[in-house]
Amino acid sequence: MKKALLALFLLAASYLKGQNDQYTLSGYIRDAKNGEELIGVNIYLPQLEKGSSTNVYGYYSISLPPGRYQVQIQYIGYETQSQEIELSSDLKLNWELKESTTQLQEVIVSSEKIDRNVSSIEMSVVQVDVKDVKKMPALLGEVDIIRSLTLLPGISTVGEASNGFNVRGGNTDQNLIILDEAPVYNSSHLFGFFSIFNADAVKDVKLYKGGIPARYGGRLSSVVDVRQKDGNNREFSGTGGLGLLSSRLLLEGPLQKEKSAFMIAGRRSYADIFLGLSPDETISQNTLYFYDFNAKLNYIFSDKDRVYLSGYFGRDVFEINDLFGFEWGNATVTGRWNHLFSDKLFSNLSLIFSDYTYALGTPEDDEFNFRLQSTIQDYHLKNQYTYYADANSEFEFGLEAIYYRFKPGTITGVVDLTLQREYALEPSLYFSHEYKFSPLFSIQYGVRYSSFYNLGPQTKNIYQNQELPDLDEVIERVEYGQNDIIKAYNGLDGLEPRLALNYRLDDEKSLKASYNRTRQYIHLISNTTAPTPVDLYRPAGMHIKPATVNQVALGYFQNFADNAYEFSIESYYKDFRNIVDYRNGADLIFNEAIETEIVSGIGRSYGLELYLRKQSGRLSGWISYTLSKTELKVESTDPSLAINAGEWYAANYDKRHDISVVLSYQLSKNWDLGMNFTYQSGRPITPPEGKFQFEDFVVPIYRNRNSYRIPDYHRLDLSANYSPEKKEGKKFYSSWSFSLYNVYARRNAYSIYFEQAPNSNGSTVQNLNTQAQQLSIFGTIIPSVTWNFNF
Amino acid sequence: MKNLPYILLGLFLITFTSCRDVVELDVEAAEPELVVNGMLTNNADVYVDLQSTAPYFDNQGFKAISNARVSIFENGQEVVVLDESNSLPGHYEANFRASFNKQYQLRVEVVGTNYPEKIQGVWLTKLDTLRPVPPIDSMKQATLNRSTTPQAFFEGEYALMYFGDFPGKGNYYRIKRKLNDSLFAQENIIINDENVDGIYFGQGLFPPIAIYGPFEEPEDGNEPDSLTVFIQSVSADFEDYLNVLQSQVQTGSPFDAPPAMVVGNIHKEGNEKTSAFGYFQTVGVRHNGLRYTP
Repeated sequence: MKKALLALFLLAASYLKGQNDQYTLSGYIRDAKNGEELIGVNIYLPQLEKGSSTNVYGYYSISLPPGRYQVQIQYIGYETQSQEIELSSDLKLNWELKESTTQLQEVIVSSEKIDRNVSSIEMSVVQVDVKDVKKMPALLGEVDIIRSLTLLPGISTVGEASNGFNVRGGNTDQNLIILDEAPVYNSSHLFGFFSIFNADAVKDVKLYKGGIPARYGGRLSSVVDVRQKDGNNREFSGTGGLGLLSSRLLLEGPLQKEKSAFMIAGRRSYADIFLGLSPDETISQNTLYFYDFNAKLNYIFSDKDRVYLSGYFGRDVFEINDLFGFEWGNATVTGRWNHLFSDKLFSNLSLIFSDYTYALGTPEDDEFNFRLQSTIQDYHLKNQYTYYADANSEFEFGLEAIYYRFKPGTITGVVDLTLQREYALEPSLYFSHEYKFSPLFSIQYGVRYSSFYNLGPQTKNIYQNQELPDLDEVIERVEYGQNDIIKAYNGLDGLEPRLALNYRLDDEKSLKASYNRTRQYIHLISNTTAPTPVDLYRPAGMHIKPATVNQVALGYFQNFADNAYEFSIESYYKDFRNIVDYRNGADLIFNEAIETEIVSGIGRSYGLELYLRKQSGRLSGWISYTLSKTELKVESTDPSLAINAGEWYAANYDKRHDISVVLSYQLSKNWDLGMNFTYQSGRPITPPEGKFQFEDFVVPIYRNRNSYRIPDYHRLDLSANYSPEKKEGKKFYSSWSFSLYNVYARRNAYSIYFEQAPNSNGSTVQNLNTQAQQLSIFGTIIPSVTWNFNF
Repeated sequence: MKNLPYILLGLFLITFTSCRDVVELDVEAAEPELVVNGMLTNNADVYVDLQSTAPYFDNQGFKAISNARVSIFENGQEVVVLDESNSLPGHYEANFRASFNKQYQLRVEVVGTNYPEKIQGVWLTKLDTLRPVPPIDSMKQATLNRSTTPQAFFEGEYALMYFGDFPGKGNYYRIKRKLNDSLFAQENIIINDENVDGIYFGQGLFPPIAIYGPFEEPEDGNEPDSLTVFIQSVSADFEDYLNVLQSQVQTGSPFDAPPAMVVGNIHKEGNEKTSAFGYFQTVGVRHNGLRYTP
């Protein structure tokens, strides 16, 4: 291992020296309309068959021998630009791209070379264009970025009302969801019906499900990198909409033209207003709504320095009859400073704060009020560098430190109780190098080294069997002082190698492979099948070990018809270690000795993903198919703690087949139509193999976990968007979106309950009959209409 | 508290267009197994019910296991053999009551080829002790509302229960209530003395427990309601059993606890890993009561 590392560093070092015979072409690429930096724009030099692309801040840099070159700038949805340059010294060149105005005519640009699918070293990455998502059918008119991601291969959800999503056999807590680099601990509103991302405020979304770059770490299965809009630095403008469920408004504009801009956005649902109209008092006196705010400021000091300040605040609020309230939500703040040490060395320094809190209790003016609050907070410091050595070689390195504060429970009111807080530090370092050996073969290798320190103050139980803690077997309690290390995970296990290879068979075909190891030090501990807002992350420590996964992926990528069509087929295998599960009957809320309620196991997942996408023309969209299998295994020396007698069993979110068809058709100048169809194998449930009576309870007998599947899920959604012609000289513009969700009104099973049948009217004797009930969240077609505007 | 997310989701879903359908699943039923339930107390005759498990979708009732030899061991000595009732097959009883602080064990021997192999054999419970139980010193009636008592969501006449926990942690009291002649269905209230060790409810800072209310006004000519409260001293194991059982009575929603087997305290002789279902309870019991005064 050491020798291999040394060789890699030597290879890297050889590129850091002696490149004097080259000059650097660099700059920013922006949207001509609003000055927003564009992410992932292709810069291509046809003569050299070389290129680069803009980073997440819209910056590019490419070093070349002196000469005269044709430079092409290509970005999907924008007009391609081309310019001849004379490179005889370092050259700064900023570009402004114009959106392609119409898609009515088949847009075929002969020089089109947007072939990232084939040429990029990235694999297992999905990206959705927010503009496309807005055209797709939406549940109750709410444009939902996370829901649209689940229509892509390898990404699925347990059902409509479930927090989070699953990526390649990973549980929902294994996704690192970052909004302007700040982690978001719960990405759902209204128990999972909608995501917390206001599509108007989002510039770019990218999801890594494999081949995860070394700059990301901390979660096992995926990274969802969401970037908020920077704000229009040319002119003041607004975007908004009125829908059936919520209304939203975004305002943006320059504070100082071309130098500084702001963006603020807000959204509020009003289902509670409809609840109030219900004649049924048990419904009308309830309150249920969510709201969120996004804000961002940026200031360009010079070509070399730029700062950003951004934030998010969202809450869901639910009150029952003024008796009981429940609220939860995320808050994040990110401050960033981009600095160019030279045209070749780009750096970013981020300071981040993130908070997830849930609280429940009675109203404060209640005589016997109580409030239970639970919080996770983290403070990040991130310092990242990109060194653009030459056209073939790019280095990334940096460091990250996260300080966590876990406040699992504080009760206030007539009684005051606090569970012990937990503190932890997660420092990490990373390095990676992308190198193009030839136009045909490129490699990206790197390593991330992460460690974790569970810190005091805290009093810890020491158990007779530390591997299998039992509350009845506490042998002593040890007190740790402020910042004392309770448990350190800082060995070689923290090395997370990352590797990606791309071999181009020809201009239109390539083979890719990747390997990554990722490590996760915080676990969402939940004793429900799907997580709920009251589940909270807890850190690895004396009794809870960090989880790791090794993933290998292979893929074949091909483009057709001048890159109008993209096709890929990928397969992956993942091997999970130390996945946390809870013990039977575990009580996780307000529990200090959480280690006595959990067990850990292993997992494996493998699958095949097919993806065909058409990007241009009247008809665009994609078809995706995933074939996968995910299994878990929990063994224990105590047989009552083993699941399925220690045998492999299907994970709750294991779905064998998952097909999505997403199409958009430009019918006329004013109308476009959208269609989504999704088909998924039913998820596993545990059926009772019998029952017995205890007092007046009839208890199901469950032996084989997840050995039965609920019926398959399928659904068709349609949408139509009306965009009237823009009137000359008029700034205000509005459009309409119509959606039909669940067009053929299928009662898709969300879950199947096993329960004792209800008593017949008036009977006080418990009914001993048992039955299964299938719950469908939507038993009917859900129409919606949204009015959108901008000015 | 455990059901909270489910309640919240439930309320939310009601306001949507969700729908429920009773469905039958094509699940292979397992071979019948033994179910042992019963109770040994200080204040009533011991009884044991022997049944077999049934397929989940079969609502024909549970089959009784007859002709078994059922006996109780006290401090290691067999002290009584229970007789099967003539009118209720599978119900075994004896005129025997337990004494506090003595150790008890139930032995069940199922013989005869009438029963599947899985049911036949000798079954034993774990040793259990009859734990003393504090008396319910008195029961009183009082008018309560939310500003006086957090549990009193609705203003009205409540029954108050006065009792004190035995000093020393690790006591679990199960409360069962009977209104007139009917026991409350699926009652599963446990008072755990973890945070109230040695406390007397109804003295000093600790108010008596509002155990029932508000009483309903009697209809014309009817007697007012009469409430009986039983307090049982149960083991930590049994408390665990009830918790797991409660989490399993309804499962299936993603917000419910994942399914798990509910295993009691009865196992095959010489093989602790083979369990029968059900629970044989050895519990100290006391009770007190109150008739509502309008």
